[in-house]
Amino acid sequence: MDKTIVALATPAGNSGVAVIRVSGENSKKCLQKLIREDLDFEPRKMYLKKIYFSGLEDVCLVVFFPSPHSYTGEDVIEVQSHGGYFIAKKIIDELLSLGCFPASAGEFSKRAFINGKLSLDQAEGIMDLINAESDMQAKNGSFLMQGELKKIIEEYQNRLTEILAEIEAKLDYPEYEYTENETTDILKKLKEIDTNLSMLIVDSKTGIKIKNGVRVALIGAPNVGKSSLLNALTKTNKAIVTSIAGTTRDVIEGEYEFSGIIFRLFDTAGIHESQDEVEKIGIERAKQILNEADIVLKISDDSNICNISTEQPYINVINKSDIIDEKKIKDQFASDYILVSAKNNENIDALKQLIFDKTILKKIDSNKLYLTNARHISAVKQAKTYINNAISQFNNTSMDIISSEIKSAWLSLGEVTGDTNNETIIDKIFSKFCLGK
Amino acid sequence: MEFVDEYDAIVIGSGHAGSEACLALARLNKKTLLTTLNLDSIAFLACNPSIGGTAKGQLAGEVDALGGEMGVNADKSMLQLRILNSGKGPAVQSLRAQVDKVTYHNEMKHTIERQKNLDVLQCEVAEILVENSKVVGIRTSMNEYFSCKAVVVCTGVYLNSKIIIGDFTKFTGPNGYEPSTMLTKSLIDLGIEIRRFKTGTPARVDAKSIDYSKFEIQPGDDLNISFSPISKKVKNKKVCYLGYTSPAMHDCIRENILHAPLYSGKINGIGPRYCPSIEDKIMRFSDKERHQLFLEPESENSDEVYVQGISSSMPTDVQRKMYSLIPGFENVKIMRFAYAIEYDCINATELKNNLESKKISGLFFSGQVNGTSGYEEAAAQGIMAGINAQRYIDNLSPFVLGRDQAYIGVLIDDLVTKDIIEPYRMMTSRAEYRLILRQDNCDIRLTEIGRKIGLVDDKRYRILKKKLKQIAQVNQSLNVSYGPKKLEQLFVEKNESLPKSGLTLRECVKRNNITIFDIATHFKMFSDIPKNVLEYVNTEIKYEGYIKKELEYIEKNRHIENLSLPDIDYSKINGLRIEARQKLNKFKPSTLGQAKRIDGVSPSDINVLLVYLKLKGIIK
Repeated sequence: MDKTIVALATPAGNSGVAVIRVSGENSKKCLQKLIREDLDFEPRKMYLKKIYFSGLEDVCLVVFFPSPHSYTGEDVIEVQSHGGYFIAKKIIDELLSLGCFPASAGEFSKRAFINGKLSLDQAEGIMDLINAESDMQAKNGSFLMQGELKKIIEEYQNRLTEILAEIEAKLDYPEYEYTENETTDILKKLKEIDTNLSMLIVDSKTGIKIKNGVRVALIGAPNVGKSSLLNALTKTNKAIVTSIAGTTRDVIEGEYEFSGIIFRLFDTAGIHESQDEVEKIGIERAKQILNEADIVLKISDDSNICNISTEQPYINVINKSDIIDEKKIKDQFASDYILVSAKNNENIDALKQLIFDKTILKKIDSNKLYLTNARHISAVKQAKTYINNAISQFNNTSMDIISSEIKSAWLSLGEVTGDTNNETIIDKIFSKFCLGK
Repeated sequence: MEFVDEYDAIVIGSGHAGSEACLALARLNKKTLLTTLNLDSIAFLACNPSIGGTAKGQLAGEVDALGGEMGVNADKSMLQLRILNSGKGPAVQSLRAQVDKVTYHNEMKHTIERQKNLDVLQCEVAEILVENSKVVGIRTSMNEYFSCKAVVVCTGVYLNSKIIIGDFTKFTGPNGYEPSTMLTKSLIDLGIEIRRFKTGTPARVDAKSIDYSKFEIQPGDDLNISFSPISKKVKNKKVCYLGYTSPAMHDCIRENILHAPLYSGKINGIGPRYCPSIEDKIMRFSDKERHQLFLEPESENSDEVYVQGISSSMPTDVQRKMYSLIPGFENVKIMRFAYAIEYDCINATELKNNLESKKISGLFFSGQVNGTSGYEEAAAQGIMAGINAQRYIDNLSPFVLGRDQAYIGVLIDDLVTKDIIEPYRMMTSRAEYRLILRQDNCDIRLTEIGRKIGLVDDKRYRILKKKLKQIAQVNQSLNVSYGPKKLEQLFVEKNESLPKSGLTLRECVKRNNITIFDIATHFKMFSDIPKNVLEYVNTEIKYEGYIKKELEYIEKNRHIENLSLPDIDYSKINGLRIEARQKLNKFKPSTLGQAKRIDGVSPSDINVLLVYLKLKGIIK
């Protein structure tokens, strides 16, 4: 018998309302004990009840979701208490003393999955949705959750199955040979699928930007006004101007949302020649940031021209538009620059638009699903490789080999939706779920 | 009840499954009795006079490699040997032998008669005797009792069989042989589920009445090999012919379709999709203007010709008319009419993967009674059932081949996990690892295993060792590298871009346009190595990448495949779809791999099961 589990379903910290979720056989009994009443709850109906916990009491909204019509597929109760960590914690303590167990990371979703409430890609969608910071992120996550990805992948799998059926029939019936029409038709169909997968992969670059944000690197001499530009770009959204540790390697100096996309700013102060060992490490790191950036802002003023070369797309940003000699700039950059004043907040929105245009190359279709999950992208890429093998060798090798490549492509696509069984994938996915969901 | 005699094992039925089963048992030193309804029907080729074909050639090769008789017997009665699919890749190439059906029967009968530990008795088995869910003997229709520890049921199409030709039906086995009418009841009494399948065969016509000028000749291939490596090289003695049906014939069948028993409701059994009757082909593939047919000689000493591809159960007058509408058959004389046959078989999902009944210990089933079609499928099960019956008697662990080891493994795994609703025919597309399961490596894959089992004699083993030595020798010679100068002439001749630096000969063989035979000719090598060994090495080199990929896949899946499942009540796992719960509870698969292949269990169900097992701590 599965244990009854409990966790806070809303983020820890201060909030207006806290939601505590309990799932498992004893859920209903626990709720009855909390409200000290043997109420026979109507399914999915909200009740306003006084609950008693750890010597305290609070008026809460409570709901009972009987199995199987609940998130996990088990009996579930939810208690909406007044916000604040303290109250929520005390309610959870009470539930623990009533015999509930604290949920481990991802356990609610794991149970939902086991009880057939979620498919693998849906589960991943939920994960993306929870972690979403922008509108587009949320939308994409909810597409996944609604099983949109599964539909797309299954369509490609069906098309591959059709091709395979054609090939296999002839392999098993030696008296039938392939006609030229048949082979060109197979090749044509393979090429169509290849094109489709390519588009998925190309679009995934946008998808990753939607999910992880666009990486913007700032470069230029210390006194050209880099930090004031940083502030100008981020000040529209004070709440996230704080320095946020990104990966262990680099530090995000700030971020802002523009047209539904998150832009993350990375400072690369300190790119210059140096003999100092410690500084050298810093420089290497800065170079890395430059290489991984989706776009580089080369910041200059009329006396400090930034001419560091980079492989990435870049924008020449000329700060201090209020005081500089524009002729000097024209000589240097012709018309390939944008003039801003960080101090006076001039042209900052235009700069944001320019950054957006240069990084989000294709129009974002908010009704479209983008591949954003590294696992999905790598599986689709793998499938494409197999199809490319089949295409490139089509005329040089035998049909048994072509068939084997197509089968591999089919299996790779199956890894996206969990149609191909792979233990490690399942393990990985559920270890990533956050608590409470 | 007094026993006439005591045996270790009794094999019921002497077809292709029964022959292999009784020989395996006797050769593994079990005192064995073979019972047959008619001694003249031992290893009778009731349908086509050939052994092998796509995927079936591999099965026959595997039976041979394990120490079975089918390949050797085919060589003894060989009329023609061909390699099929030679242009479609090594994974799907198969041997197919036309054999003399009279010789095939005679040779197998004689082999069985001469086998030590093996008695043969013509009789009908009426009852399988069971005590405490364990086989203890049999009773014949003449009320003789024989004791035994294991029974292998190989009744083929003879259980309550009925032939159908139009409106005419008769309870009989093929070729007028007696059907077995009492055993079905005994099986039902033992709790075995019985179902009814159907199959069919074409007419046999008189060679003298055929205008061969309207057919295309199909000679054998000049292969310089035999079906079994232990036989002497065989010669092609006869040819086959390729022809086509005509629109007039199709019209004739359409006009008379209501007389076809399958359409008039006379036939209740379920027939195979994979070798359908001509009326089926014409109704199902109505857009096809014509269908291929092959004329195959039945015997060296007979004018009977088998018309492959035109099996039918039409009434005699329709048969006469439709056959005469085949170009070249204008004056054809039918010698035996085509017929359909219905018979009782069991649901093989009631068997364990050693082909033993889940309900009754010591009761094994093999061949067409398990719902398969084809001689090779039967023989493959026969040898496995024979081996496993011996292992049961001797208290040894079951002998099971994996899907990555042999088509035999694919076959039996499919039979015991999939709900088969029509006669099961082996096809290469049923195998996941067909680049590994090739015709040319049956012996390399299985003879060592057969040796451990005890069926591979010294001669066969010596021949394997010799082949392996030759392969090693060839591989070593191919490690020699040559400079661009020395390679130039060959590369120019073969239209290959010249290498900048030296290459080993192995690397040369990897080139698209160069084969090991080109190397052999050009550098005057390998004159003492047989062609089939060079062919084998050539394939292994050219397809190395793909073979490696399959091996990696096998390795990757091994864990899931072999993960053993405890006795679980699947109905309690809510995430499984209802159908999956029912199927899993019915089959009780022993491994996760098996669970995965059960019809009605989807990959998502397996994912659910995996997570469930982890949560329960059943697996880590």
